[in-house]
Amino acid sequence: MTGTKAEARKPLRLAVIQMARMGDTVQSLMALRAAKQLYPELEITIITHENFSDAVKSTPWIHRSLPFPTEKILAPLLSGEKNSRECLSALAEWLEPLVDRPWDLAINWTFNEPSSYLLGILPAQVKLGFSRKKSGEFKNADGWSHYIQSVVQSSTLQSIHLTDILTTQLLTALQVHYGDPVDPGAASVTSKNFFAHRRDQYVCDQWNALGRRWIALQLGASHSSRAWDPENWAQMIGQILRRHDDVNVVLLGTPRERSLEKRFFDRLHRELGDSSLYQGRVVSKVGTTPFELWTKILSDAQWVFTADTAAIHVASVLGTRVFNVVVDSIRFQETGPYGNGHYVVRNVSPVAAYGAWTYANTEWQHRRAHSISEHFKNLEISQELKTAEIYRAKIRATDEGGGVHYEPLITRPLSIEGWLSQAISHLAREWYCGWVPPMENELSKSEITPDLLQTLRKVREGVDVLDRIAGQGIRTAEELKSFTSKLKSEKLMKSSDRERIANLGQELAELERLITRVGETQLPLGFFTRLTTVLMANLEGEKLSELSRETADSYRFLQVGIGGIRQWVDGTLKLAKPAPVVQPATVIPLRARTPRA
Amino acid sequence: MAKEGISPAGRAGFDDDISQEEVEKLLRGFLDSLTEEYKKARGFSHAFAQILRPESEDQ
Repeated sequence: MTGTKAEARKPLRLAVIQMARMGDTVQSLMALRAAKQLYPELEITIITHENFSDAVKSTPWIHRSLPFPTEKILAPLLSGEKNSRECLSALAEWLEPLVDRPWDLAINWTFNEPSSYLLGILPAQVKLGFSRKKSGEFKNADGWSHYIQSVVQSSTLQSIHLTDILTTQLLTALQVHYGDPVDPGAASVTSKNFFAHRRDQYVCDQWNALGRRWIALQLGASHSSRAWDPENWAQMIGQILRRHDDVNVVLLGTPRERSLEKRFFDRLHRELGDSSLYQGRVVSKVGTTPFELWTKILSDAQWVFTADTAAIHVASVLGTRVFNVVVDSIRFQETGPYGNGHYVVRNVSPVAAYGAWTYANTEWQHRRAHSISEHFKNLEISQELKTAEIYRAKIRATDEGGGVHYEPLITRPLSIEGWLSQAISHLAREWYCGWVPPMENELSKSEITPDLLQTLRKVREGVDVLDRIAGQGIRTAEELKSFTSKLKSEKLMKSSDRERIANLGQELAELERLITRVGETQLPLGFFTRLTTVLMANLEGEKLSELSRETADSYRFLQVGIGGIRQWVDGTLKLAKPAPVVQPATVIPLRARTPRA
Repeated sequence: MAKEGISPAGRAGFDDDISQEEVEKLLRGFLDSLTEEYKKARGFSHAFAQILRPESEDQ
């Protein structure tokens, strides 16, 4: 059916719940854009948080946007102005247009508790994401959402970008339930026209003037702990202004970030000394950019410097290169800039950040023929690389694993957490996409250390134990299924039959406890414990025979993952083995040489 | 195409036989959990501002 003309296809009504912040909303739009290109018949309605609905309202191919009126519904309840019953009526009134007829597909990308109730209420042929049963009990509807709950929302690292997870989750469901996509041709998800905005708004003098390049610097972040200090930005920008005459900077931030703006300028003036020399080269728009102007600036700039996820994602969809300074333990592999040529840096000083940006900014000259280490050496700042992490974003070809990948430009020893994050992401693709690229594509021998190998040898023992538990789980669940299928009634039975069912049930419960114990003693395997809990909590059968069949399937599913981890452990151990040195063999004489006379 | 596995692509979920009580239970769950989140999101600064609010504003 690939290549079917769009006009021949019946409209598909899709409801998306995205009530999180701006960054998450834009990530969702990116996934929806890809889906809309492949399924043009989609009629998309998005339920958003009212404070972050501008992006959705500005997206022309979204059929309908429905912001949740938080203040209108919740504030009167908290102030005592309205009682709970009245608020419930207001809520039902708001919900009315969403429940008048069933959706073909409803998807909850908020992944939190309140939104699960909302998905539970929506009538839909297919539901994805956190939801609720009619009884109000939590229900997690699909494989990728199991992965979000058990891995992404835990402390275990994984390296599949959230945009890729959302896109794959939606496209898989569309393909399974509604057939193959159309051929999108050369359509691209990112575009300067992603949002339907006027392009002629005034920004400032010299904006887009010939020979001028603009860096948009977004101060702040969603949490202050995630922002890079304005003093650091000021030092970095100071270096750029001194050494790159053609570069101007526009400062961006919310009205609440005026204190960051002040700190930035205080430090910049100290950096530059005679600031009259740089007059007009730094323009502040902090607190003065409505969404439309903000996106125009992010779209027109050559670079966006930021630690803020909303700015990162908006710049990504607009195709502007991002220089992302990661602060703290942010999982940039999940939420970093999406696309080719963005840079992500962590543990950097302002000097190192400047070095990394100049490398990124001159890629067209050096074409990455010389390394970042050589670049830092040329700048005489090699010592700045001691702790720095520098990554370059790249969209991988499907046969290389697909999705966005952050290629490290400085090789560092691989920690067990880093190794596990790659192994788990590999597993997720095997579980939910059905194929994986060769493991060798993802690991390099130079990253493997003796410490890692030692840990992996211990992990290998835990993997064997888990494999035996899963095998026993399958056998026990199958036995329970076979036994209960033969019963005439699951309520009325002989006491010996009841006892046998109870024993098998206890055995299954004991196996779950054993998985928990393995996870406690072998921390890298802890995600199997969480995944087991999620899988077992989402069995849907009404009868014992159905539940036991689903339990056996869950153990089979776990066994695929356990096998995958074993392959990764064995593959890593093999990769680390010293390769034989290939040299011409030395000829050893059979007889001892006799010295010449 | 995803291979067969644990619900790779969601399940049919059209609850056309849902009762009024069940709808109300879900609505109430939505309202209660949203209210909890809203309280948390407004956080300390809002609570503090409420305490500091001069009495005249209430009148």
